[in-house]
Parts: sequence; structure tokens; C-alpha cells
Amino acid sequence: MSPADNPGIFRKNGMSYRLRRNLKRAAAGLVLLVFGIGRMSWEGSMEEEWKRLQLRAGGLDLGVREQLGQMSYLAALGGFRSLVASFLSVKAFNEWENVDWVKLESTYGLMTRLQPRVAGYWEEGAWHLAYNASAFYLLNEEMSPGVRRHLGGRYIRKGEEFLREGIRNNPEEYLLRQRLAEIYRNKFGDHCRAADEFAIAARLEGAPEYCRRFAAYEMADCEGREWEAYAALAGLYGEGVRHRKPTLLAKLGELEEKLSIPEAKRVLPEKGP
Amino acid sequence: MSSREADRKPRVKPGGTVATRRGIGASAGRIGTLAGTTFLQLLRMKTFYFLLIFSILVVVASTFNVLHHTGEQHLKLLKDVALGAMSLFTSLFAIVATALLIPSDLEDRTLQTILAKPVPRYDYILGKLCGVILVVAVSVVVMDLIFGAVLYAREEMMVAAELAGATESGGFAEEDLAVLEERLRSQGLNWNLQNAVAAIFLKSCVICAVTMLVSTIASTSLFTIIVGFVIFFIGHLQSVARDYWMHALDAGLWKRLFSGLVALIFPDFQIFNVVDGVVAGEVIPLGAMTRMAGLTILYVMVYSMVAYLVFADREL
Amino acid sequence: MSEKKTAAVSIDGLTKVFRGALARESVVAVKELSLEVAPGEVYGLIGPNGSGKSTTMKVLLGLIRPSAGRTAIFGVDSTRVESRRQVGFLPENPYFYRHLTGRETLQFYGRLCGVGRGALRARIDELLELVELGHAARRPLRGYSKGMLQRIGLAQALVQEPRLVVLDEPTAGVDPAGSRKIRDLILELKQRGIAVVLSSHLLEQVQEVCDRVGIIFNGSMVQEGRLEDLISIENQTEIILKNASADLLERIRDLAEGADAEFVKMGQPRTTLESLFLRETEGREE
Repeated sequence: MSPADNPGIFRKNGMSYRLRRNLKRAAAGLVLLVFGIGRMSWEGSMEEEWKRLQLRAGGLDLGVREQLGQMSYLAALGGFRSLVASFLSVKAFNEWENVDWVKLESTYGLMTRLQPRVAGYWEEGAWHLAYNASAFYLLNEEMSPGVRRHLGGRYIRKGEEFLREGIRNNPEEYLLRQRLAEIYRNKFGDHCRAADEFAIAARLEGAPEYCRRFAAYEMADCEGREWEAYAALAGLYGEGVRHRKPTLLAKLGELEEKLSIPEAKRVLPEKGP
Repeated sequence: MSSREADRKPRVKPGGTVATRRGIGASAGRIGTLAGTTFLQLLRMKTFYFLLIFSILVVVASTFNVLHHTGEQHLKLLKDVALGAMSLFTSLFAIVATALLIPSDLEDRTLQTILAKPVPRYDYILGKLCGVILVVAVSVVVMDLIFGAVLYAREEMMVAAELAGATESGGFAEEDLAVLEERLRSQGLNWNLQNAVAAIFLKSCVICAVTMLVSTIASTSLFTIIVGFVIFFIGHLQSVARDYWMHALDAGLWKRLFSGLVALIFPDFQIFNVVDGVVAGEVIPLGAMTRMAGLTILYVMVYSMVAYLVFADREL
Repeated sequence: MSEKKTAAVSIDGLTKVFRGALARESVVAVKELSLEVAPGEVYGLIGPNGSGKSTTMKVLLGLIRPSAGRTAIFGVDSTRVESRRQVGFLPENPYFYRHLTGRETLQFYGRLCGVGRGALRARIDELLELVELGHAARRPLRGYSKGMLQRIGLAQALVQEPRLVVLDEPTAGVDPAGSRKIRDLILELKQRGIAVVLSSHLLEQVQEVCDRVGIIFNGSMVQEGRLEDLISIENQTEIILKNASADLLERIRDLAEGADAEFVKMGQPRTTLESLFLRETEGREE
């Protein structure tokens, strides 16, 4: 540019600087708003996808806020749910030491609300309720037998309920099914339901093979399903040496006797005289 | 005069000018220069001390042992503390470091000397932003390395200890031991954790951009930091406002307008909070990460543009 | 060459009003100010604090926008980034990045101007020599004295070899020795044909270096012109003699009175306090 040839060296425009500045400010606001409108549905759909991917738990309700206290609630909102849950698990340990079952139950309730997808919290909470708390009452000699049975039984049912809730949140987690089956087996002596739960656990991804054996063992003790159990045990026996544990052999033998299987058709080799 | 000649013999011609570059390349060069100086500035201000605090925290968390905690819970606690601290530190650092830049340049009149050079104001803003994002990136990488090393070490120790314990107590078949180890390893070091770290970084980029925007309006660092924190806080609740605006059709007009305005103006930081899910074992697919990165780029671009529009006619 | 005709600085009817925020009143900082500075000329803007000197300079450099009127540097409107290719600026009491060393500071500003690497290295060596800061080039600026900061600031302003340098109160807060160095540098620039616009409220300094001055008061130009024209007392003549005897002086007085001229004053000229200070401290500093 050659200013000498151009006597009007100053930039020509009709707009005053004030007007230009105000226009730019208006443009800034407009860009922000348009961007806000544009991203609204996009972010909404991302939020949906995040929920589908289980990356984002549902909102926290007022009850959680009251239980957590302001600071922890804020932390949980700000992306620190996992951390708050971890610290609650330390708190739960103290409550266990102090045998404060009421607080312990509510703490696990909070932990699992913060992180419903951490199966470990469900498993541990149920264990505290169905085993530790129930045993505390069942073995408490200061109480009358009736009260002991009542309270002990109530905590076993709480543990069962807790696991069921955990399974609803983590249907693919075999360990929770396994623990539920164990409660039916160990605490209720309900072999039929234990067998069903073990069987479901065995079908889930990552489940160890012993789940199938446990399902068959429990079925063997379930009134009316002996034939089914026998077939399952025989099948496992046939699959290979790895299933031929002492318990399996014993259950097979018991059933063969109980069902009066002819010697020739028995799976187990004949015992020596 | 070729540049080699200039190299050999410095000369000042009366009224002459040394060869200077122009155009896009020059712009990139300026942004690079500003970013490099900003990086150096934050480095020499010893702002990296917080990395030391982070390391101590992670190491302490890794030795923090609650009696009944299983190996899995132990590793989860370590991940919670480390990733939580990483997320918090990075966000706070992003706000504070960004807030220091423009207001201090303004106060020291350094800004006048910079803009009295042929430096367009958008180059200045982008240079500062790139510099602070570079610092954040380096911090995240360092924290990630520390965290990864500690987690890996603890994981190996836990696996060894639990397997030894199980073998000692007996009654565990090979199969059971394998299950035990696999469950422990699933809580240990894995690539999915890097997705959480990447999300922490992306969130900080948005924080830097929005804080930069605030600092173009503000005249002090303190004001910028306070407003930055308020935005940080509201950004975590933005999705609530968006839900309200989109779905609570029967609510009062003013309430809806207010929530709509919040949803339009504030960024949604919850999108980036995937740490909880990742620690719980949820896998983030590549597509989701890509969308998150895309959203981040959009945020940074739009906030930079708005920052420029505000800053373009600011009186210095 | 046609460029020769273009003024280094043109300010045309500049008015700047700072609008008060909220209930505060607006302030008129500069009122219809016009001036031109030719290439290679040293121009001094003088006036009391708050008279609008800095504001004028900032508008010229595009740091603030004029409310009315226009400013240009070598014919390029100040609102365009391009206008700043040919100008170096040293603000009043500048602080550069304290964490950078002297050399890094010059590198930083050089790169901002887009000076190529090789050329920049040579240019920095030359500038450090010019402002006599070669010995401190590797020290961070936080350890620099006021005068050193001012000189590195001047070097910074010169880094892309501009044809115009704008200095806002270049000697404010600098001790006399440092102040003299800066004055010498300005004279050096003048010799090299670089136009200089400087503002100051220290009139003596302006008198020493400027070709032309403008006096600003309350945002308006009240007096402008060549220095000699402005300050010479046209109907008086000064004679300075060395080793004159009392007798000779008496005869001169008689001669003057006999020739219809009024004898105003005779006595020993004083050196300035500044030159006394410099003579006594030269070679003892640092």
C-alpha cells in the first residue's frame, strides 16, 4: 500500500468505534447462546449414552444429601462419588467394629446408591447383614431365644434383600448370584432355591466351574429333583477328572443308592468287596 | 539481503527493517512463541509443586490399609483417591493458572508491549490458552505416570500376597486361584483407566477456555478465580438445569427461562465425569471418547471466539 | 521515494472520552488533538500528569480506540495490526516477564514480530551492546534495576528495527546516570534516522533531545513548534567569555549602554546540578 498516493490514509468506515464494540459484544453473547442451543440436544444424547454405558448413575435425591452431609454431597456431585463411597467403606468398617448394625446398614445403603455398579459393595453389605449381624443376635445369650430368632432371622432376610437389589443393578455379575445361593444354602437351608441361583450364576460370564458343581450338589438335596440332580452330576463326572471332587463322588454315590440305580447303569465304578 | 548475510554481520540501516514473516505461518509462530513463554512462566513460577502433593497423596493412599479390606477394595480405594485427586487438582490448577495470565499481563503493562507489536489479539488469546493447556497436559501426564507406577506396584504386591495366602490356607484349586487373580487384576492397571485420565484432561481444557473468557472481562486474577470456581460449580449442575428446561414443561415460565439460560450459558462438566464409572469397571468405547473429544474442541473454539470478541475492543 | 513524504505519525482531530461506568462521570482525556511527526524527527510531548499524553500514545498504538478522529503510523491506520510493524513502544514503568532473562525477553518480542531465527540472534547481540546490557543478558529481569529495565525495554522496542519509536516517560524513576544513558540512546536513534515520539514532564530532558515539542494541557495542544523557536528570547543575546578581566567586562558594559542597548545581566554561568552529579559519580558506579 502506498499511502502517499492515497491521501485518505485513515481507515474509512462509517461505523463509530462504540457501535462496533457493542456489535462485537452482542455477537459474543449470540455465539454463546447459539452454541448453547446447538449443544443442548447433543449433550442430552451424550448423557443418555453415558447412562446406557453405566458411566453415569442417576441423580442423587434429597435423602442421600441428608445422609451424606453437605460436603460429601457436593463432592459426590462434582464427580467424586467413587471417592466418597470408598471413604464410606472405611466408615463402615468402624461401625462393624462397634457392632452398630443400624448404622452399618445405612452406610452400605449409601455406598451402593453412590456406586450401584460396584458389586463388591453389595456383596460385602449382604455378608455383614446375613452373616455378621444375624449371628450377633442369634448367638446373643443375653436375649431370650424368641427375640434372638426373630432378630437373627430378620437380618438374614435383610441380607437376602440387599443381594437381590444388587443383582437388579448388576444382572451380569455371577458373584452376587453365588452369594445369594450361599445364603439360601447356609442360612435358610433352602437347597432348591440355592440350586436355582447357583445354576444362574454358572451361566453368567466369568463364573468359575465350581458354580455348576454347587448347583448340582444343592439340587441333589432338593426334594423331588433327585433325578435331575443325578443327570447333572453324572454329566459333570463324564466331563473329566477336574470335576471328580470328593463331594461330587459322595453325592453321586448317595443318589445312586437313593434312586436304586441298577449296578450296570451306575456311573461310579463298582466298589470292591 | 539473505538471512545468511544477516547472520554474519548485524547491521542497522537507518529506517530499515529486518525481514519479518507474515500470514498464517507468522500467526502460528506468534501463538507458539506466546504459548512457549506462558509455559515457561508457569514452570518458573513453580506451579508444579502441586504434583509433589499429588505424589505424596497417592503413595500414602497406596499404603492406607483398612484391616478387613480385600485386595480389590484396596486397589479401588487407591484408584479413587488418585483419580479423584487428579481430577480435582487438574481442574483447580486449570482455573488458577489461567486466571493468573491475562490480568497479570494487564497489571504489569506487559500486555501493552506485546500488543504494540504486530500481534493480533486473537493470536495473543490463543497463545496464552495453548500455553496453559500445555502445562495442564504435562501435569496430567506426570500424574498419570506416578499413579500408574504406584498402582502397578500395589497390584503386583496384592496379587502375590493374596495368592500366597490362599495357597497357604489350602483348599484352593488351580482354577480358584486363577479366578482370584483375575478379579484382582480387573481392579488393577488397565487401558480403560487411561480413558478416565483423558477425560480429566479434556475437562480441564474446557475449564481453561472458560476461565480465559472470564479473564478477558475481568481486571483482577482474584475476580477471575472466583468466577471460575462459580462456573466450575454450576457446570456440574448444568445437566439438571437442562433436564428441567427440556422436560419440566408444566413448570412456571420464569423458572423454566432461568434454567434454560443456565443450560445455554454454562458448560456441562458432568459429561466429563467418567471416573466413577471407570473405577467401577465400566469400559468407555472409543466412539464415546471421540464424542467427548469433539465436544471439548467445540467448547474451546467457541469460548476462544467469544473471548476474542470481548477482548478485541478492550481498552488497555 | 514516495514513502519519504509519509509522516511517521499522523494524528488528526483525536478525541478520547472515557465513559464512566455506572454513575461515574465521563472524562475527556484528549480533545481534538492534531499533530504530525516527520520521519527521523524527535518529537516531545510535554504536559503535566493527566494531560492526555499517555492516552494519545495508546490510541496511536491501537491499544485503545479513539472516540473521534484518527491516528496513523507511516500512513497505516492505528486500528490495523499492520500499523505496528514499523513502531516500537516503551510504556511508562514497564514490567516485562520477570522470569525471562534479558536475552529471552528480546527473543520473545523478536519472534512476536516474526523476525527469523538467524537474523534475530544477530539483532539481539547488537541491541544488547547498544543498551549496554551484554553483561546482564543471562540474568532474569527480576534482578534488574529500574534503569536496566528501562533499557531492556528500549531494546525490546527496537527489536524489529522499527522506523518509529514511542517512549512514554522513558526516564521516570530512573537515576540521573541511567537517565543520561537513555538520553544518549535517543540521540543515537535520531542519528540513525529513526523517528521518536516521547512524552515527559521533565522539561530539561525534552529540551536536550527534541527537534519539536508540543505542549498538551487538559487534553488539548496549547503550543507546538520547533524547540529553538519556542524558547529563544528574540530580543536578547548571550555572550560567554573565558578569562575576561574586570576591566574588559566594565568596558563591554559601557559599550552596550552607549549603543542604545539595555544591559540585563552579567555573572558566572552555573553548571547544571545534573552535570555536576554526573561529573562526580562518573566511573564510580557499578
